[in-house]
Amino acid sequence: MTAIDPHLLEDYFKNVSDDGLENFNLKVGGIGLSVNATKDELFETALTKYEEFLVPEAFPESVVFYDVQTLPDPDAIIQAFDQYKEIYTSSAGRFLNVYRWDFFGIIDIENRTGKFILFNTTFMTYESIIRIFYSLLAVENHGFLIHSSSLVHKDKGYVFFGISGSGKSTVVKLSESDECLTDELTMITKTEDGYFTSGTPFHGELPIYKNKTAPLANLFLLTKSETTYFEKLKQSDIYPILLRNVLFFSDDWELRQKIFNTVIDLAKHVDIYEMYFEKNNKFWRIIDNGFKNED
Amino acid sequence: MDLKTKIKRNGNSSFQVADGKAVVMLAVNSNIFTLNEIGTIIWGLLNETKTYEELVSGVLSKFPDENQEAIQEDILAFVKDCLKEQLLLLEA
Repeated sequence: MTAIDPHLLEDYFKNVSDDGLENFNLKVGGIGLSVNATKDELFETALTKYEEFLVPEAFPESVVFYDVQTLPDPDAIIQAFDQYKEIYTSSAGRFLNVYRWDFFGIIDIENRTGKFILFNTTFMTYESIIRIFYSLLAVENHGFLIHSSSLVHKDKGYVFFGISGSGKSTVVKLSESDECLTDELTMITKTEDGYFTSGTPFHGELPIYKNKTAPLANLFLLTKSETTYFEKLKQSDIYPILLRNVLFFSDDWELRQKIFNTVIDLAKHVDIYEMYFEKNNKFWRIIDNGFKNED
Repeated sequence: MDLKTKIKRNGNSSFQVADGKAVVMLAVNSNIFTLNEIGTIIWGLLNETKTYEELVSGVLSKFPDENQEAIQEDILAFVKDCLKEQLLLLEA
């Protein structure tokens, strides 16, 4: 598939206007992002859905959304991007071009700002871009977004990751007495006090999300099974498995190296297990018992 | 490959040492390789280009009491695998 000419992308932005744009400010896992957009139905949906994560202060990290209908010949633009069924990226120095059938944009990685033109009037497009942006901001904060559910159990954060259908939402359903941070995307960040797991407003099957952060205790690669037991993952297996589950789109080598370094460092500090589990909450008993598998 | 063949790391890679083993990521495809003990030693020795002879000599010096022939076989196998995966490159 032919990549879009980066100059063409830049040209599209010559006709946009910031008049009448309003903003809301998010803070996810301690990382701020201001979103500027027309105050339309999608904007209102964002205010409702992200309510727990809204803060009053604006951030230098920001993204601007423009409606394609405000540009000349919008139908031709929409048609030009129709072939891109998945997210495509291309790096050009400090700029990252991102596009799919329903949007295109340019992110200034150095300044942590972005501008996007949206073709679709569904919230999925809106949220996809915010997810992309947070995936980049997390890397700059020695962390990452990982496809996973996460729970706070006895004041510690536990992250359950795996491919689609591996049981991320099932684990949440089996843990009614624990606080769910997300069943879709967890933010992992590092501070001088260690690694932390935070809820995000990006939920999956379950409409559950909490703006809460907890010290990260363990990560678990999920596998559904007839019995429940844990196996500590071999170091050599951890890195590719973790990286496969990290949400990241950029082909920028410097950013990819940062994620690589973070994952290696995380594995040095946090034990990661493969969790085979049956459909009950026995796994918590084993976790509480220091991972002593039961017969 | 003869004893004078020059070998170097693929410069478009990133590596860390974790749990005593070198973990290498290639820029071209983001593939990740966790190297074994001998591989980690070889990777460390190749912080600058070396001939195959220098490489073998460097590794053998770390295992003076081991079966030298077996280690040489491991070295050759490792280098061949790494050349195939483009972790290591030959220098003209």
